[in-house]
Order: sequence, then C-alpha cells, then structure tokens
Amino acid sequence: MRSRNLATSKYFIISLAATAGIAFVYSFVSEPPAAEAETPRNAQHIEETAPPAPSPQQQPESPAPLANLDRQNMGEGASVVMGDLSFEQVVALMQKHHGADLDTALGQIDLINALLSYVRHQYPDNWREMMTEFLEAAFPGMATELVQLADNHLEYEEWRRLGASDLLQLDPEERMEVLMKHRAEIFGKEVAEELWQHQIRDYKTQKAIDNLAAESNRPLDERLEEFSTLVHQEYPEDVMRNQSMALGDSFANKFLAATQDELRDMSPHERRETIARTRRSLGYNERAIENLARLDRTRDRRWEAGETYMQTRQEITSNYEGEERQRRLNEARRNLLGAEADIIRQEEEAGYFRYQQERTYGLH
Amino acid sequence: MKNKTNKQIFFKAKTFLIAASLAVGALFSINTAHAGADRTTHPVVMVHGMGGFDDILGYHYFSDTYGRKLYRNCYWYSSCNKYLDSGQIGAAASMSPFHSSDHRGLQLANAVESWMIANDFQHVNLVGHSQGGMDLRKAARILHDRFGYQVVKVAYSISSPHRGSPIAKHVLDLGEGVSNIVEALAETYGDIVYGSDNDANAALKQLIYDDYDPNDGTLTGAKQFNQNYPVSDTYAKRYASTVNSQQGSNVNPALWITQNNYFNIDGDGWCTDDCSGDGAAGKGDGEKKDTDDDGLVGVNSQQMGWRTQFHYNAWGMDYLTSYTDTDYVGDINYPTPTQMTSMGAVINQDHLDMIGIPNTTFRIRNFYGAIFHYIAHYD
Repeated sequence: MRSRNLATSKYFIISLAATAGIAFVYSFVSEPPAAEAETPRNAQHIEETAPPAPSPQQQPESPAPLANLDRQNMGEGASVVMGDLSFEQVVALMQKHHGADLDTALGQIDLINALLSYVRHQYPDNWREMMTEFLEAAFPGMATELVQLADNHLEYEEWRRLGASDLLQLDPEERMEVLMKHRAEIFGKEVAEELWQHQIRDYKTQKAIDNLAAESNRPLDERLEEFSTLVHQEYPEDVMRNQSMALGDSFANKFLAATQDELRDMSPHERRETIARTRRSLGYNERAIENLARLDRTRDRRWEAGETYMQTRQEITSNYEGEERQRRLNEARRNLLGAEADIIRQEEEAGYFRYQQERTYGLH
Repeated sequence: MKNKTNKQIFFKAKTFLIAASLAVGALFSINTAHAGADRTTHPVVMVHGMGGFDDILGYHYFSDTYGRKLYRNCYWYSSCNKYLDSGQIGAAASMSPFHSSDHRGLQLANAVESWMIANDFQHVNLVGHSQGGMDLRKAARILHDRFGYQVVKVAYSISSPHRGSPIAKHVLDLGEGVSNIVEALAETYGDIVYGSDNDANAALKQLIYDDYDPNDGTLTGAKQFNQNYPVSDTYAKRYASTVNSQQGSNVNPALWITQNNYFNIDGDGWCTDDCSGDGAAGKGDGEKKDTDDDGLVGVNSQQMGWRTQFHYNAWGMDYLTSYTDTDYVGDINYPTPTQMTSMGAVINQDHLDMIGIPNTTFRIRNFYGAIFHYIAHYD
C-alpha cells in the first residue's frame, strides 16, 4: 500500500512536471489573453476556446534577438525600447506580438498596421519593399496572404482618403452601404465583413432602435421584447451580463432615450415600472436596477424642486429689480436647490436654464 | 488481472488529469499578466467632443478604424482594446452632439452619477476629447457638490480648446467660406448637426474665449466657463492633457476650413487673454502655416494641468509621461508664455486622428492604452 502511494505520488509529480513544462513553454510562445484576445472570455470560454499552439512558422525563432533590447525607464511606469532594432529583432517582435493572432483577419490587419507604422517611419524611401521582406522573414508560410492583405489595406486607405469629403455628406444608411460595397470590392465580402464585424453589429443595433422607436403605434413592451431578443442574439453573454457597466453604449439607455415621448405620457407608476422592465430585459442586474430606481426617485424630487424654483424665479423677476431681485433669487436657489445652487446661478448668468430643458426619464 | 490493469490505467489517467488541470491553471495564471496598460484603481469614462457619440464621420466615437471600442477590455468584450487590462472598467458617455458645455457638462454629470450609483463606484476618472475636455471640468464640480467629496481622480483632456478656438469665431462671424453656421458645421461633422437636441450657436459661443455678444445679457465663452469650472484639486486629484498639431496634407479633409485655406489658425503666441481678437486666448507668432494647430484648436489653447509626452514604443504599447518643462497649468485662463508657445511634447496628429478617424497612421488603440496606463499611475 505504501509503495503504491509512493508510486502514485511519483506519477503525480512527473505528470505535474510534464504538464507544467508544456504550460511553461506554451506561455513563452503564446500571447497573454488579456493583451491579445479578440473574443470575450470567461473561465469556461477560456477552456473551450484556448488559442491553438502557433504553427511552426509562427513560433519565435529564438528569444535571443530580444535579449539585448535597450529598454529605458521613462518614469511613471513607462518603459520604452530605445535605439534602432536589427532586422532579426523586428522579426522576433512581430512573431512575439502578433504570431498567435494570425488566425483572424483582425489579428492579421493589426500586424499589417503595426508593421506599416514601423516601416514608414524607419524606411521612408523603401517601406513597401521592407514590409514584404519582414513579412516573408517572420511568417514565411503566410507571407503571400499577408502581403495581399497589406496591398488591399493600402488601396482602401487611399480610396477612403480621396472619398472622405463625399462620404461625409451621405446619410448614415447610404454611407454604410457605400463603405461596405467598396470594402467588399477591395478585400472580398467575407474578409470585409470579418474586419468590420463590430461596426456592422453596432450599426445594425442602432438601426433597430431607430426603427422600433418610430413604431409608437405598437405596444412598448412588444418592441422592448423584440429589441431584447435582437441584442441577446447579436451580442455574447458576457456583454449582456455587464450592461450596467456600459454608459452611452448601454442598450437600456439607448432604448430609454429613443422612447422618451412615450415615457413622458405615462403615469409616474407606469413609467417607473417600464423603466425597470427595460433595464431588466436589457441586461442590468437586480442591484443596479434597485440603485437606479432610488436615484430616479431622487431625480424626481430634484425636478419638482427645480420646477418650484422656476415658478418662484418668475415671480421674483416680475416683481423685483436690482439688488433685491438678486437677493431673493439667491435665497430661493439656496432654499430649493441645495448644493448646486451656486452652479445653477452661474448657468443662469450664461443663459442656460437646466429646468427649462426637457427631462429625459431614466437617464437625467 | 485485466480488471486490475484497467483500474491502474484509470487511476493513472485520473492522476494525470488532475495534475494537468493544475498545470493548465498555472498556464492561464501566467498568461493573465500582460504587457499592456496597468489597471486603473477607479473606472474610466470617455467624454466625446462635438459630433455624435454613435456617428462621428461614420464611426463610433472612441473606436478604431474597424469599430473596436478603445475603452473596453478584451476579457468581457469582443469589441475592445487589447492594450487594456483584463479587469479594466471603461465606458463612454453620450451627450448632445452640439451644445454648450454648460448643457453637456450637466448631461455628463448625470450620466456618470447614474453609472456610479448603479455599480456602487466611489470615484471615476474622466478622459475628454475636444469639447469633452471642457465638459468634464463642469461634471467634476457637479459630482463634487452632489456626492460631497472629490469624486474625480484624474481629469484628462485630448486636443481640447480650453482657451477657445479661432475656427469657432470664424464660423460664427460668417467668415470666408461660411454662409450658414449649421451648414458649416455639417461640412465637418455631417448630418448629425441637424438633430433636435442641438444648439449650434451655443456650442460655438462656448468655444470662443470672450463673451461673443457682451450686449445680450448673458455671459458666454470659454473664459467665463473656465472661471466657473476651474482646474482645482477640490474637484479632481490630477489634471493632465495632450497637445497636438499637424499641418498640410496630413490634416483630415473633414477639417475642410483648414484644408481649403479659408482659415488657418496662428496658435502658438502668447499674450494675456485674447489680445488679437481671433477668438482664442493668446495670439499667433505671425506664421499661420506652421504646425501650430490641429486643424481646429491652436497649441496655445490645449494644455490643462500637466502636458503629457508621448513615447513611441516600436512593437509594444506606447506610453505617456508628464512633461515637466512646461510645468503645470493650474490657472486655466492664464498660462505662462512657455505653456502657450512651447512645442515641447506636442504630438504630430490632427484633431480627428486623436479619436481614430481615418486616415491616420496613429496607433490609436496603443495611444488609449497609454492614457489608461498614465491614469493608473495617479488614480
């Protein structure tokens, strides 16, 4: 029994050492997930989609070229590589920073952009030739594909530069159509859609909100459900779980902003319920929903005080002038507006009256 | 015998799997350390300038050429900035595209207040581009007054017209090349200027240093705004900024007024207040066509708090550090001659490059990583 335990322990240690060794080697040839990942990850997702080990041509030839990099501490946590890099060092850095990401079009275009930035700066007279040389040396198995992508990228850059002013004058729908048409012509439809997948998705979401907001003849809850289904389909679980941490991008905030006219027409109770339902349906957690409901009530009180102040202000400005008017206005602001009385006075001097603005429920 | 062998194989396999999972755990723990920005202690909110949050020349504000958000980490989000720490919390606020900073600063304060309360945050950092860098000073003061303490840790501005922009005055004056104010803005920003929540006149008056119309009974302009919402450690722990400029064919064609030579800012001279009457504090040095503005804002208008210096880091993340040669701009209306005229640490990019609007060779994800890293050092 004792010898069996000993054998087991020995086997455990050997197994641990072997797998740790693999892990150790892997950690050198792969990029850190936080720095390089392009897909959302949680613990489960990491296990399911751990990046594949780089193919032989993507692996660093040797860490040796990077051993002698001249790093200088610039203070405030900044550490910068100084001096000119050798050809071998650039190749090793390309492999180190981009080698593990070349299985996606976005990973490839990141490499191209980084390389273009470098060669344009270092080799202004022959940057194009140098770009090809570096790609061939760093990723020989993919060089042809990468050079083609770089050529497409340069063609797109030039088209974008020449057409910027004209594009600007198109409405968003026309502009997106023209952009995607030209991107597809230059990169091919599949690559173009992969490269701009995030822009396409955001555009689609915004368009859905605009369309749903315009359909005020349909029940709000029905449109909310439709929108919720769309964003849950379009965006990964992780994005939906973190919605309370979004601000301008928050789907709930976007939906609330788009349906203000309907919220204004509701009774206070119905409005509160609708706002809570919107937040819940679009990814806010219960704690955030409760916290925000409490803030909404605080804001109700602020607006009530603000409206009272504006009435009082009207009376004061109609009946008093000069110093007496100012004294009474100051007193009204102090009594009704609390800590922000002085800021509100300065806003009024600038011609801005915050309580004359239209309130946006659930947002301000 | 066969049974025993099977058991042994099963046992060995089980032992191997346990060991392997431990090692794989170690692998991922090794990989969580990354070469990007340090994580800030408090979350970061990006504040957009003029133009739409969702649509600035067809792009989402604070996104790269491919629409990836510059302020989100890649652990939670697919649309993200790979240079941010996996636990970095960042978001972008949305305000009216064209309005005064009194209006936008209040909207920003309300949005940040909601965000903090929803998520139980105690402090935030604010990063504003262009007018957003002015809006955030107002928001910092409102948040202080509402919460009763200094809420904002680092207030950071990028290409902000803190002391006005001559372009704003040129447009309001209907100068050469301008026949209609709103149409002029649409030339640069597109159709979004026609939205219902805009007040183009208020937006432009905000960006002129002095009160544009002293006889209208109101006090507008950057100078008054700066007095009301100063650089003050009551409202934020640290203020810092980038200053940038560009000239010639590199300037984005969308900055049409500069490109078509209707108007060129001479923005690298010093004097008290707006002695030259061009709409911005300070004056020029007599040479308009040099690298003294970014297409919309002069160099002498942009520094708030510490100027930061950009360090290009080939193949790694770039960095920003405080540039001490120009010292600290604590009185936002009255910088020293050096602070208004120095070209030290000026980044050679135009106004729109700084938010990733193409065409730009600027490594925009890298740059925003550098901003987060700088903030992490001070928040």
